Amino acid sequence: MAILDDIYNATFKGNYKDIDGLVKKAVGDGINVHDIVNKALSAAMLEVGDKFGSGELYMPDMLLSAKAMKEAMEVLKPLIKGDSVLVEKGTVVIGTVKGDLHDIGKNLVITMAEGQGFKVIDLGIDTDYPKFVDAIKEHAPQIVAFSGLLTTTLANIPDHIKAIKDAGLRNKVVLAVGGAPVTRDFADRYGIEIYADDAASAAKEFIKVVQK
Amino acid sequence: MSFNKNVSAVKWEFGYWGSTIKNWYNQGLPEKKYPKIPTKITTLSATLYTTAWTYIWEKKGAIENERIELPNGIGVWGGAVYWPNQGFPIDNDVAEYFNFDKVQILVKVEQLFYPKFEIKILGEDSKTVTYIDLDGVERTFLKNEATIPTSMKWPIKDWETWNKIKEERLSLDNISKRFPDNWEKLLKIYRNRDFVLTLGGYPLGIFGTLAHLLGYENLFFYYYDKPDLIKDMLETFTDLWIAIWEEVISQVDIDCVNIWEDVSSGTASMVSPAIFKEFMTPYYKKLTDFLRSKDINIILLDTDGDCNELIPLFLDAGITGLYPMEASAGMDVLAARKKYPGLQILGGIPKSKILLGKKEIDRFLEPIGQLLKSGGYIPYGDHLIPPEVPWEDFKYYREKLNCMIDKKGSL
Repeated sequence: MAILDDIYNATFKGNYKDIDGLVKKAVGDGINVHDIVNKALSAAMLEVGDKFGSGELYMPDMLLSAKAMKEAMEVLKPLIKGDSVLVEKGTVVIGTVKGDLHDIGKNLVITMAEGQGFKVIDLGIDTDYPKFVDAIKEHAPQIVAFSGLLTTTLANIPDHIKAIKDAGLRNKVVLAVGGAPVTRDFADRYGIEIYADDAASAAKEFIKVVQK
Repeated sequence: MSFNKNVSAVKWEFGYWGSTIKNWYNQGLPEKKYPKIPTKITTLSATLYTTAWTYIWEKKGAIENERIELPNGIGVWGGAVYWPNQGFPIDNDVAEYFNFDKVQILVKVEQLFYPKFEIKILGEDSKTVTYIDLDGVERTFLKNEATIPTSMKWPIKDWETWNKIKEERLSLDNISKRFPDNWEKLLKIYRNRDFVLTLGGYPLGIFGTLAHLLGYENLFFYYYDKPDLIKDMLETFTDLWIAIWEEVISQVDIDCVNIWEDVSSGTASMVSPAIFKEFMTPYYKKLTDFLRSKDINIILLDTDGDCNELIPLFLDAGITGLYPMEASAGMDVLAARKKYPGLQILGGIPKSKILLGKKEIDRFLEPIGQLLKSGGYIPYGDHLIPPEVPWEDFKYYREKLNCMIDKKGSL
């Protein structure tokens, strides 16, 4: 359908100013919301993620596409409520670690994860240990993701993990970590299952977890 | 930096985290001159984060000469990065222990806003203080963690806010007021120096200054939504820097210029070559053409992360050298030298591998000898040395590296 192609292209190209009208037109034309989300928005974001991962797209491109996706979802959210077709793939609890106030990376992961159908509980920035524990108890996520930009605050991650262990919840969740100073070695050192170079790769790793 | 094979490389480190230095004092580094955190506001480049640190200490009743314990999250400069810079202290004891060369000094002249913004405390609770900083950026500082203050809101939002700032704080008509009262005294020191003297520095860059004053996300959107605003900002800042530098260079010889960008992430450049060519290349060329006309041929650029894709673009735009060449982000100094023989290289030692011990240190230092033999290279850790690195391992690495430098690359 041409309108789905238009939405796909607008999302891929980050044309966030026009996407609102396109999505409203699609809804007005009676296009299934499920198709708009899966065939246009999510599919476009997957391609954006792939091309970002392969170095063909850059951070501004990804941010523009993420904004387009968000604008589109604003139109669709009231229609999605209670839609049994759009079953969430899983739940992710995410927060920037204690002592760190940065959120660009975290927000990109949220957009990519939501784009792939995850319910995301955003704990915000400078997230203290108990907040993660409380969120696990309340939302029963499959995945808990730590985000951090500062080398010095990454040192808090073992304490975050300890708090989750002490609460007897470590076996109930898969842990993920990301951020500029984070490496695969770092994740391995603390037994963190998911490490991703970028937001798109993180969302793909999340999908693998719920598909297991 | 001039590829003179008869001269040994300079001995410097990029720097260390506060917690690293504190650990090392406990592990054997002789404590003779504890790093002293600047508490007086001077230029924006020199004292940008001083607002946060001093606010806390003033509240605690700390005085100018009191020894203030290094916060874990503060950087301590190691000489390779110009000083003063961002309100971080300079290391003395590591430098003395390893007989490092003198620190690179940044000319004391205001290169960003004149007048500066007034500091204004917007709110405070037990954990945080939020304030308008000297550069007009709203920042939040975490009191307990004392990590680098985080920018929350930025002073330039649109044409209106930009034009106001341009008119009030970026005039070309009052350049002389950007120089300190003791300029004549400083000039004498600068003219009779035995250290490297530099201009530029944090947060001056074609990408960096804009990211600093707009926020990264806004800048990325404005490349597409407000390209004319971006170009007007870049025209204005480059005109201003040339005017200030012209005045300085007319009075004292300068060794090099440092440009701060941080335009690459851990995996790639943040901007595409297309954006680079449209929004960066012309303005770099404007600056580097001017500097070359003044016989300044060392133009160094600071960008963390993986900047492999951008190296040819930097070189084309007149940049001559790069640092800190983060190995953990995929920067390979040997490969860079092979591909770009004329590129001046600084850094490139994998800081996070120093803790892996003697065998690993020997392994990563071995190829460094080739670069030292070819010149145009100053080796040091590829960013602030993290607190996990024990003093003994650092000592082994640095003593061996110094030995290699003394022998011009031989082991």
